[in-house]
Amino acid sequence: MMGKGLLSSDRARSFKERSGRVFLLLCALVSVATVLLISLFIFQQGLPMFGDVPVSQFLFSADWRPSGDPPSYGIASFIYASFVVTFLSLLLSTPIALAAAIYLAEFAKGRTATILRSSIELLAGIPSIIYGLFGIAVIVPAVRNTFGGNGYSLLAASIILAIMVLPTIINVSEVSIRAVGDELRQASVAMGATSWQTISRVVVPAARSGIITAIVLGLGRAVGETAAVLLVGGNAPIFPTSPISMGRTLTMNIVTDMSYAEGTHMSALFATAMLLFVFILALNLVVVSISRRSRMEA
Amino acid sequence: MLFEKKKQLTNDVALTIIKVLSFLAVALLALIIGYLIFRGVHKSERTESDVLPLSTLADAGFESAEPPVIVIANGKSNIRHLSWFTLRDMALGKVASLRKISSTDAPFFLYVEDSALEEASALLGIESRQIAASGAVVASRDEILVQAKDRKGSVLILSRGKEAGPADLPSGFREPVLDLYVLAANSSVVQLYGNNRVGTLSSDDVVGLLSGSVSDWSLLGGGDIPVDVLDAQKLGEQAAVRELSTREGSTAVMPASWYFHAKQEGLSIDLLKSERIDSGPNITWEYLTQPTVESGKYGGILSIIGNTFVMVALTALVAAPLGIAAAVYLVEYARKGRLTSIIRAGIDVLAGIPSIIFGLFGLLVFVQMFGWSFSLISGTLTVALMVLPTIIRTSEEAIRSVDRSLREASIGLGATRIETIVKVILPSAVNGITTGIILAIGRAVGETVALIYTIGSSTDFVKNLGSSARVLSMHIYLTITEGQSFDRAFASALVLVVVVLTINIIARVLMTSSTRRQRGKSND
Repeated sequence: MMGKGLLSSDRARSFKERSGRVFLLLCALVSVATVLLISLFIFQQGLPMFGDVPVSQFLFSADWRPSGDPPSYGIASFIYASFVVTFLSLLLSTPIALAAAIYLAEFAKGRTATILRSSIELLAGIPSIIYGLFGIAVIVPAVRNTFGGNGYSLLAASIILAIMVLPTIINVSEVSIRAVGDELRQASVAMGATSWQTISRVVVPAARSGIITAIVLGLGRAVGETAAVLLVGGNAPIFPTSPISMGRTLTMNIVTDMSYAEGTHMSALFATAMLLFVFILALNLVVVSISRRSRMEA
Repeated sequence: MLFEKKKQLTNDVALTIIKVLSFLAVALLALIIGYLIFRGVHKSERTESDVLPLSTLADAGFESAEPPVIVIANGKSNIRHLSWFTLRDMALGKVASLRKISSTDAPFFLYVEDSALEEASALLGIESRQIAASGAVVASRDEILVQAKDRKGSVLILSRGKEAGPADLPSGFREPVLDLYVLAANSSVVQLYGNNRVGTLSSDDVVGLLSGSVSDWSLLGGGDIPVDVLDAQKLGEQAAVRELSTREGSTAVMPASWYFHAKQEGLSIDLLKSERIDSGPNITWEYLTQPTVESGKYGGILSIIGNTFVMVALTALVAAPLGIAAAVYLVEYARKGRLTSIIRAGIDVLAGIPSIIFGLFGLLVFVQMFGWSFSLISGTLTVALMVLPTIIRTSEEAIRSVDRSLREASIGLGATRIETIVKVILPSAVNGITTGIILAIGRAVGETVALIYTIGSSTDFVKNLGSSARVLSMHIYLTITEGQSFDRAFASALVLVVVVLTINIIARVLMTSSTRRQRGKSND
């Protein structure tokens, strides 16, 4: 006969086991809950605006006069500025990032690899406010002296962003280049191709989906970045006509007015955040579908 | 053959370009860090000053008369220069502390040697009994030297003595530069002409004015009036002031006291402000160890550094247990299925959400809904949610790489799963998990935007979870946006960068040592 004590201790153990499991599951669900709550709150605050302002006016009017009479809440200039800044920054950073990823995955050895890799990691670690400060002190005067204007411009913001997204693009594309099978490389070299031909015609095309993922991730970072662009972008609520004109991005718009906005104005800021949030979610879906498709191809 | 050569050339060129471009990343890092260190260590700030800096006077070849008294300050006061206006305020008892005068904050004390009282009152245009009534100590030289020695914020006015020549500086004291001269001008000079008026004059501008090479005020941004430089010293106080107040476009270097008297009489004379380039060490021991004064305009950043550490520690305290638990669940319990993929998607999405959105969430939930207002707890929780994915991902990897055999041995010995996790798996994954926490701390320490609308901006050291607390990154942001000193922003930035880079390097070292250990194990 089994002792009663042993049985109950078994039960206690299995109870502990089960409650431990539930506790861990709850902790794992915090992230999901946070995402859901964030969406809930942002939408709850942002959606009421559309009672006062039609969607088309919000998205397509470039007239942002929240304190005007009548007030006007069009964020087209901010959408455009965000687009310009993101596009320019990716244009500047992608070639450098790809080169670094190729170099790290294919050539770098020993100390050079360590130096390059540590530098990229440290670049990723520098806070965005520091990039902003550096931007004001170095990039803004450089833009002013080279292209004219007052220097606080979309171009200055793009340059800073280009540096900031470098590590993201480098890391993700390096991983995907590394993942390309060695037999592909060997086959290419055996056919008499030079290493450049191998890289440009075999390795990079094979790593295509990973590289695209990297760029999309960089795009997400660039669109959402606030502190650095806020300091160098000029933050003027106008429709930017050239890269060297001042501009206000979506994120800048949210930060700038939040401290004093009320009513529909406040709601319009949350609607701006809503747009940004939806865009970031869409980018996530893009990343997921790219990786799924590449897995299916493989 | 030719084709082969061309192919080889293209190859070489392409590979060189790749190499150069990739090392651009290293160059960029070096540029950014180097620049930050340079600006953080060395300041060259242009400040506006009412008096003419002595160096500008020397550049212009102006021979200033020796001051009738000697002014020295306690060596620890760090007072570099004193203007006539400051000295006068001191003698009138209007200065309580050094916080706006030097980098050191200390209560201010004025000592006047009894035999220098008359000269001092004449120099500053105050009656001698007013000086005594202001709280200044008037006594013999030996006595005030003894008293002032132990007071950091002491300034002493000593008599020059009968014999000319510099008196020996008593040890433990320093002699600040005395700026006793101003550039005064007829009121017509500083008037607004359209949208323009004479601005702050650089040293070169002053030299140009006095040497006659700047002949018209319009060259300095003023009206179209010829410059008329008067020799105030030759004219004497009465005549110089009279001439200056009547002749349009006239200007003169004169003792500040003359200008002051003339102004009191209501004569139409004004000051031309001049620029002082304040160069020297930027980040100093005082800057790091003193409390903040007037939102960072003066004083140091001690309380802000303290707040930063408290915020980061609390963030880790909240995020680490949550993140590690989530990672344990994902590795040890999660089965392939809908729930697991939802959790994974949640973590991925959370990692990609911009910090401004987190800031808004913190504002809505912690600040407004929970009513915690702008406080340490609101900011900490916001940032903790932000860094959660970092901790989960790194911990997950670390836990996953724990050897299967360890797990099996523990279960085989009769341990439950929870016991195995707590006593076997987590201890062997500790390096990887610590790396994750350190990386998260690195992110938390530099976060700005998520804190703007959550943590508040009080420069005092936090008292409890509910108090508003300014952290380093926010301090830099506010220093810039409030248009305060750039040099101070750079000094804070240097501190932040050093902290962040140290954290990153520690994480990196930990990571390599843990992978090395694992590799060593698998080689056995």
